[in-house]
Amino acid sequence: MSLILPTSPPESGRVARWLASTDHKAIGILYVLTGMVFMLLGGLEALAMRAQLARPNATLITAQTYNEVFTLHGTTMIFFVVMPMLLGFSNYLVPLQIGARDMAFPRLNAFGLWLTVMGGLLLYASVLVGPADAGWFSYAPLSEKPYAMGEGTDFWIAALLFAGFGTTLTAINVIVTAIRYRAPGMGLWQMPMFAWMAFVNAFIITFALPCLSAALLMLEVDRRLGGHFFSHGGSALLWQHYFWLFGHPEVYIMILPAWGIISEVIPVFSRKPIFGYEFVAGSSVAIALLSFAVYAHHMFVVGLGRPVNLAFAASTMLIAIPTGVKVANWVATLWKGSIRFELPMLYALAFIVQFTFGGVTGVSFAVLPIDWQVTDSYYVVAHMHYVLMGGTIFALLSGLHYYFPKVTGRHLTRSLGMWSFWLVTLGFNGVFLVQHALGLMGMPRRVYTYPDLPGWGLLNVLSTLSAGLLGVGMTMILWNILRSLRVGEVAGANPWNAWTLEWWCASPPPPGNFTDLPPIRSRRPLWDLAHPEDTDADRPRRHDQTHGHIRPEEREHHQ
Amino acid sequence: MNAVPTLDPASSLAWPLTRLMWIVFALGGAVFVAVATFTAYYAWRYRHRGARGEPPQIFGNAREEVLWMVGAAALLAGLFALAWWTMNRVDPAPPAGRTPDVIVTGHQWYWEAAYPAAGGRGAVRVANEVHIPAGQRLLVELRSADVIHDLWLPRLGRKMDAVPGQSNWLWLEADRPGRYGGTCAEFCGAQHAWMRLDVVADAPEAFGAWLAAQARSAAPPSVAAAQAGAALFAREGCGTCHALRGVGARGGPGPDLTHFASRQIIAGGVLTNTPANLRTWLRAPQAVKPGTRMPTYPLTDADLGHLGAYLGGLK
Amino acid sequence: MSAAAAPSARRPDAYWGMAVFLVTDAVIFLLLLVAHAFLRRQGHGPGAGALSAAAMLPWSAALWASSAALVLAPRVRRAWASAALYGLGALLGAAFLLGQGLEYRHLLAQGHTVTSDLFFTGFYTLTALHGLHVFLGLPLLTALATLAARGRLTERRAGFREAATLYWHFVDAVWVVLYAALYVWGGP
Repeated sequence: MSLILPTSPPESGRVARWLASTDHKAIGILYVLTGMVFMLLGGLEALAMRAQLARPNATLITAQTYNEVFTLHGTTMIFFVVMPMLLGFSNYLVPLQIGARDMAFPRLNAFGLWLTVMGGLLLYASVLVGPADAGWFSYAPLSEKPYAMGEGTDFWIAALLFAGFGTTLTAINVIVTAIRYRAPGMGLWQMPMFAWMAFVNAFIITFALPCLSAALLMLEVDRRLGGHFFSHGGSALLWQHYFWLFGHPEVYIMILPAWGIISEVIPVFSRKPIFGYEFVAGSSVAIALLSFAVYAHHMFVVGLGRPVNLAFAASTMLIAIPTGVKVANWVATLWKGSIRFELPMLYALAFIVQFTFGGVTGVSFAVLPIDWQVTDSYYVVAHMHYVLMGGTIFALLSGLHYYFPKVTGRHLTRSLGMWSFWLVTLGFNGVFLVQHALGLMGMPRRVYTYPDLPGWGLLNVLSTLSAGLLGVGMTMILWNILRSLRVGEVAGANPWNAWTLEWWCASPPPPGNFTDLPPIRSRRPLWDLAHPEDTDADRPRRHDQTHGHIRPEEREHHQ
Repeated sequence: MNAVPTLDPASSLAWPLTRLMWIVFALGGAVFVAVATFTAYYAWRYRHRGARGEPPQIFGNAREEVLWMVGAAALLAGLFALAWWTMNRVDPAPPAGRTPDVIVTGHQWYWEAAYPAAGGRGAVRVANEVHIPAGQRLLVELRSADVIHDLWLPRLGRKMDAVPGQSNWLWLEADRPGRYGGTCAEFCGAQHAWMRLDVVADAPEAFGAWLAAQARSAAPPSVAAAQAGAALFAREGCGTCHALRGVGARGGPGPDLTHFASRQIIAGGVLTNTPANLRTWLRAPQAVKPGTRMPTYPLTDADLGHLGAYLGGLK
Repeated sequence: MSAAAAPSARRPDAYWGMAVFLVTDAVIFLLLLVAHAFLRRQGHGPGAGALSAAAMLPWSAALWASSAALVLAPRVRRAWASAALYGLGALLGAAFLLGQGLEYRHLLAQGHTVTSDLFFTGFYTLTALHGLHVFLGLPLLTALATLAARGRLTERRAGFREAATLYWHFVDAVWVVLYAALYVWGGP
């Protein structure tokens, strides 16, 4: 889109240059910073909730405030923390990994970022008029008049429309960039794992976000113009169908790039290529398609009828297979490797364990009658935080420690990083492990307080204390980032000895990223350069029975 | 297991659920332990010990991948079969033409139960406590008066949403007499936390007696304090929200109070039904349950005493 | 940047970017349409009976004709003719919006509002969203006409030209579906 606008850099200070930048790296960093700022808010909201829930019948915050806080927390974490951070990684890495100078539409890219920021500001502007209090899922008719009379819900709708539009623009950019701007010699099937998953993810965004936009438009027509889509004669369940038609793909939108990060980190710190590239990549496509086919498993108790329930239970079981394939391949990548316990690897290993735990509880919901018993209880809260926090956030932390040297040219401090890793891991598991038990004990989710039933108070106070630990750990990570910007050890272009193109250019990468590109004859161009006697490109293409591409003389080679 | 109602079933509709949960937890636990063990073992076994050079570059193995997938698919197919079988056990389809034994309606924020069999539809309406005869399987029709609610009785089986504009069905049964706690599980607004209920399973003859008692209109008050309370009830217009059979109070969104004193919990479980608690509630409902539809009335201590006497007499 | 083939051989990036964007747009329209078809069964009013397909047809034809103008515009030799065709497209789009406005006035006068019936809740939502798309398309077509008149709609601006054209064709195609679903189809 070369319209009529001039593209000369603005004649002003550093901050203004950053804010007006259309460079994918600046935009990526700004996305991540946006996510961090909102994570601070979302984290404080979480701590407020945990404080209120520490004891039964507590009166620290009122019911109304609690409901506003958990609505803000869910909305913030999903739309303004996890998604911006993942999109930031996508923005920063996709062009670098495929050897491009920038995204296909740099200005559109900046526009998408600022739309997302605008959405976040709108959400928090609603605090002035009383924020939305119907939950991030905003089920009609609770989100309709007369049950939600305030303007908070309208702010919430506007915030999500803005952020959703921004996200969609970024997805368009990723798709066109990955298809059109790959370096010569790199097929789609040769893209690094993260770029591949970000690419597939962009397609999920393309089809899922408009479902949310449509639902939000209809809700706003109901609220402002007195329409009848979801109440007053309309269908309350229609909202749920549309919301989850977006909402479940959204779950995968929030995990695919995280898987991408994990699939970069584990091979590099095992000093081996990812086990079964084709299967890890291919399973992402299967998941993208299936993610739309499983949405109504969020609605097993609304009374959809047996055939519908069974169909969605079956599709949900099915999506567990490609997900399991990924986990199996990560574990197999460790096998016979040479494992380096650097910080990114520690987070990645914790990710595997925690994500698998969340996955197993997820499958338990697919066994439909179990969902009938435990849905809407703290068991769900525990499950979704295991996959979204123990999964996605840990992957983001892994990616943060892994790419920090590339972005800033400096390493994060290891000792401080170790302390915060253990605090965050212990804290996280402390908060959410006990919540599985609370759910089985009958504690429903989204309650501002609870009666003093046997064991409830004890487990809740454990959860709250761990939340404090988690908060300390997260604060230490933040401190580590701020400190290492100034005093971190200088990293160099390829501190981890990795094999993909983003490690070819300088750290931080110059404008335009690359002055030259290495020959690209395989998925690991830098490995080929470092090992001319043993390039990937010269290995047999086929996976034979001796673990594909492996040479007979290597079979004895145990370390 | 007393503290964990989902694993302590008290109904033939809940036993299969609990068994299924144990099976799935065991299988899932095994899968998790396997993954975690392999991860930890490989990470430790193949840790870098200072050797130079790179380990063997292994790219994958298509046959192993297919084996994993087939294994996972087999496990999931088994789980799916189990799920289907259990569904038919705990949630059989109601026979055609069968009318509901109890109609349970979710309100912001209390549960109401109506017994259509006892003298016409909606003649007997109770709140916060649902009585059922033990050992009998009842068909419950679930409705909502406002937003979406969800009836969850962990020891008695599956949960089910109450959705405005549609009727959902649910079987309810308790093997033995007793009190079984439950709650609303779908977020429904400010006081979702205090939308609890008790299902009281009585021996069948006791249930019959209870239902007959509930079907009677409220007895006129005999003591002076209670008579003053009844007058106050009429004067303040309590009957615009609360039905009270026998004094012509038709009611509205509030719970039916005809036999208020026969219940053990009030206001969605936020208080037990004692004279002191009733006084607290009537004095400042918004302080006890902020957001409740019950407004705060400027009642004197004497008024509270009279009202308490009147309501406390509605056995 | 990767090596580009000859410009005529490959569509510009902007064309594909717009194509993906229109996919998201199509999903929104599809979902609104499905909701409308599902809900109108529960409507109580006259529903589609209150609409006149014949009265809306000329205005609709104007919109569809504008697509034809856009197909012709890059194919004519002379710059002024090309500019005139783009301008004609914009005018026809504006005419459609006028027709839409008259239609709304007529329906509101009869008492058919967003709140009056389930059918009209969907009707107004769909047609207003589509009308917004037409409205946003007008400046694009005007820009194309202006550029063409000054002879500045060169290969360098092929991206803008193709993206805007694709957008306009999409908007017209959506109206084919909406016209059929709202005006022609009697309902489920």
